[in-house]
Amino acid sequence: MMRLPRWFLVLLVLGLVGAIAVAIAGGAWLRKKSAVEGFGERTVARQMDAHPIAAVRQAFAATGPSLGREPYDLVAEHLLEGFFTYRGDSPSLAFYPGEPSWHGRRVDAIEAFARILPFAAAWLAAGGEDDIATAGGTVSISAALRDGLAAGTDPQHPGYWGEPGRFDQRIVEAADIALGLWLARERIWPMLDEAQRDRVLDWLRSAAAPHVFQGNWQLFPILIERVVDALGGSSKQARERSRTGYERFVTLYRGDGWYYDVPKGFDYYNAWGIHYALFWIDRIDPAWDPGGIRPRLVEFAEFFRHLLGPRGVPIMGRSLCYRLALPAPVVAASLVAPERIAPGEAMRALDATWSYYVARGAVEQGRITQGVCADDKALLDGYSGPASCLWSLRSLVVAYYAETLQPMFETPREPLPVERGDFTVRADAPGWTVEGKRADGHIRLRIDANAGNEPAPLHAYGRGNSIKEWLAQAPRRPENGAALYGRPEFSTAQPPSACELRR
Amino acid sequence: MLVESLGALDSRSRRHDVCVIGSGPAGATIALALGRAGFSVILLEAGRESWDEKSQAVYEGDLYGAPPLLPLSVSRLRQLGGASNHWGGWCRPLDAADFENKIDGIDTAWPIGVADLEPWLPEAMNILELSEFGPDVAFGEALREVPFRYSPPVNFGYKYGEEFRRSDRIDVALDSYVTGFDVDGGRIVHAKVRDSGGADRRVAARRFVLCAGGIENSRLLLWANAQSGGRVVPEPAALGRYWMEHPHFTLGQILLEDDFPFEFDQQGTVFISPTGAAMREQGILDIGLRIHPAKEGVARKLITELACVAPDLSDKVFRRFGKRLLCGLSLRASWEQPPRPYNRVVLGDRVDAFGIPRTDLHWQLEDFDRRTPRIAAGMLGAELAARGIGRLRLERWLDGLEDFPEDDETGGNHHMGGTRMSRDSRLGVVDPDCRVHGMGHLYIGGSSVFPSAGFANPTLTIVQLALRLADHLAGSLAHDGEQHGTVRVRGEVRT
Repeated sequence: MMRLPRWFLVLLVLGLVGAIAVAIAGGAWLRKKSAVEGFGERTVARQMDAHPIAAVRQAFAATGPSLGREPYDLVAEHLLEGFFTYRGDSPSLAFYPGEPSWHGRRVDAIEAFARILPFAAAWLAAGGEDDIATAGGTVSISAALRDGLAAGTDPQHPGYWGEPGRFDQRIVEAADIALGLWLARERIWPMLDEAQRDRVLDWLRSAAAPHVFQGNWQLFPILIERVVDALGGSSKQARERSRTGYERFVTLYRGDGWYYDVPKGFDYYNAWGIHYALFWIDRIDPAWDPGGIRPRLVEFAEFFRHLLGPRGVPIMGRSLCYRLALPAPVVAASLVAPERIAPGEAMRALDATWSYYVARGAVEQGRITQGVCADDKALLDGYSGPASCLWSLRSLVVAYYAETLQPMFETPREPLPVERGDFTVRADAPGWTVEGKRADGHIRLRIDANAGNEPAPLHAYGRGNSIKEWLAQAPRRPENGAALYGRPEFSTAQPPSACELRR
Repeated sequence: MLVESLGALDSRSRRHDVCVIGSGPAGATIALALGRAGFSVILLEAGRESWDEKSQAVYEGDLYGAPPLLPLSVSRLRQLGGASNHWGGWCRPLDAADFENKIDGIDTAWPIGVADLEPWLPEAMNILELSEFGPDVAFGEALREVPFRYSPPVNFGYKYGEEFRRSDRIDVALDSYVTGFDVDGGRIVHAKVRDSGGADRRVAARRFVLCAGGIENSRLLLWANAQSGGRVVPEPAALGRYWMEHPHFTLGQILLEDDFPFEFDQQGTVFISPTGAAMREQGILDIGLRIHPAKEGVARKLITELACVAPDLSDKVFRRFGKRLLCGLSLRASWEQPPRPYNRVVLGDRVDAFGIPRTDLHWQLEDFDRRTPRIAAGMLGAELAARGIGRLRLERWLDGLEDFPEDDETGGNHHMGGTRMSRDSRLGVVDPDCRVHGMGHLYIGGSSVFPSAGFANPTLTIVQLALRLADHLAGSLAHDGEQHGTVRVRGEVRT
């Protein structure tokens, strides 16, 4: 046997050690570079003792001519208990359990406050109980939200949200905070002292100024500025900027009530993002563009209501954990034009959507789960964090707001299109055709632009993703754009992830 | 006569045939043309004869949009001669296609055509001291090499200052900031003028021509309208809107073989532009692609050439040090942006030293602004490749993978639109004669009347339009019969 020279062995060992050292250092450098703030820190999920999920599911499972208000109040209390359970040391932040976003743990915690605020405000405005029982005792919702607003906008407070920069996720959250403030303008706004109010308005102004992405983001600064104006704090300059921003945004209108949401085009952001924001801008400032916003909303809802049924919605697109928000434009349109969108049908759409998804795990542990039914990381975008899915509450924000104007929850329900008979409807602008079959209750969505495409497979979150996340310390979820946007057809008969009934 | 302020003229001599507001290329050209034709002209310049910090501060304003343009107090000059005090002298007339609609839904049409400006081209070239333009040279079927000519550059304050001083037909009043107008019977009868001492005066004239600049024209009219309850511009739907710049960016780098067919001009530049037919076919607006030799020292050039062996990797390295990689020749461009109503001048909350709201300029590039350069550069790359004489490497932002770079020129300080020309008062502020819709005796000169911008630097077109407007005013005044100062009745002159 040939003996290797000693010097060669030494060199070999040194080379190996060096290579390992370089690999470790490189890995550490890459990890440091990609790591998202607080990625490894996870909150432990808890059951809501005071408002258990079982009672919520039971209430939504009730059958009858109408669900009434009770199930919604129960789910509201369950989720509000969740917010206070996961609230951090600062009243302006809440650290929900779940998968973090690429924005980092702190921004995720700001999202939690921002996205619960309009819901809580609408619920309170609609007569919801201010005191909520939690495992830690009873909490005054309005006082807690006041404290959160005051802390989040105070640069001296540890819970300060910070000044939003260009293309900053906090601009999105500021829009919800502004809306919540407007909805609570009679309840919480007077509870702030003058200095606190000034700071809140200053923070909102700072969020309305920076640049945003083209598409639904363009509406956030406008909504924020309209609220600031409604609270007496805007300026001519800011109004003109909102007007310019709005004029730019409406160039995305493509007809039939549909906007082209850059860069993805036509998806459910038209429902839970664009028309939702426009509806509120119109409510905050009815003179803003009533001739544009209202007829487009109603036209959109007249088509869109066909997508809602007792077996859920044909799931496509992104941000799918907002699925419970899908009835929002239909409920909103029923306020604008009840002669064209009957409130009874709008509320039936709300009942059907919430009942279907709540029964399948959309709500539990005091939170909205990160999937379509239960948690599913295959359907979770990198920008979505533990509290992002609270955008699902947008349909309830509109419903509770509507309840302050007229009795909505007790409105006699009217059947949905798919419950009335078979149908085929089409919207030319997005090239969407929707078919419903009364016999089985299933709804199919066909997209012209995808005709002829091979249905792309949906990739599950696997070990590879898990390793990548560990190495990067950042979300590395499957890229499922082709499956969620490119398929020629989406159907309630083939939900993208397991949608099993929860007990 | 040239005086330091309006107060130095006696009140009788504040009544003229024509009051021209602004002494940049448009205002000076009109004043000189009319003065030389025997009309009495008063030329009001808000600034002084030379640069003055306090005066310049009036031009401060706020920019809202991205990427950022130069600050408004830097990109223009408030002094005799206006922006001609700092222009580069690059000239080219607009192309015939620039006056037309090229893409459905993008309103680039002028209510006049290239033939309507051509009669004034020789005189405009004479004023700007330009040599003859050679013909365009085809480069493939879709592209052409287009010539530019270079003014020394002419500074209107220096060039014509002496003539202003000596003229008995033209009174030039410095430090005369027009802050509004008096309207009577549907026409302008006075310009309201304030000097830096705060004294307010009025100037009467038979015609008023606003030539204050591509932003100030909009700002002054917006303010005049706000003050008068909308009487100065009675049909203001387009006022301040359709504001435009020429986006200026580096598009990429070019490696050319030695036998390339181009001829670099005196500025070391080759300009390539698509034909009108190619613009229509490709759905793009006008663009001037500029091939420049990279200006580098020997060592830098060597580093760059070595780096260009692996351009993608090298580009990343260069970017880490905040440098832009230039391989061989750089490809730059300026191009036409779609006129959009929401790119606009509005009155801001802040006010200048005279109490007049400052400019708030809302301007933003959009995705379409990548389309024109991306497609045009692609056409150039394809032609170079087809001829086997070079290759092209484009910047990532052109594909939408990155934002528009913020460390580039962004714009050419070409401020256009805001009071655009249109037969339809809903889409424009002035008619084809540059007269303000619905208002008698008020005209506008300068690039603010451009309905669309082509890609050519605007000064030559500004001077052509100014000469055309001067001729129109001369005809209009002659039609009136009476002239101030000198009274002209049906051809007879009585002094």
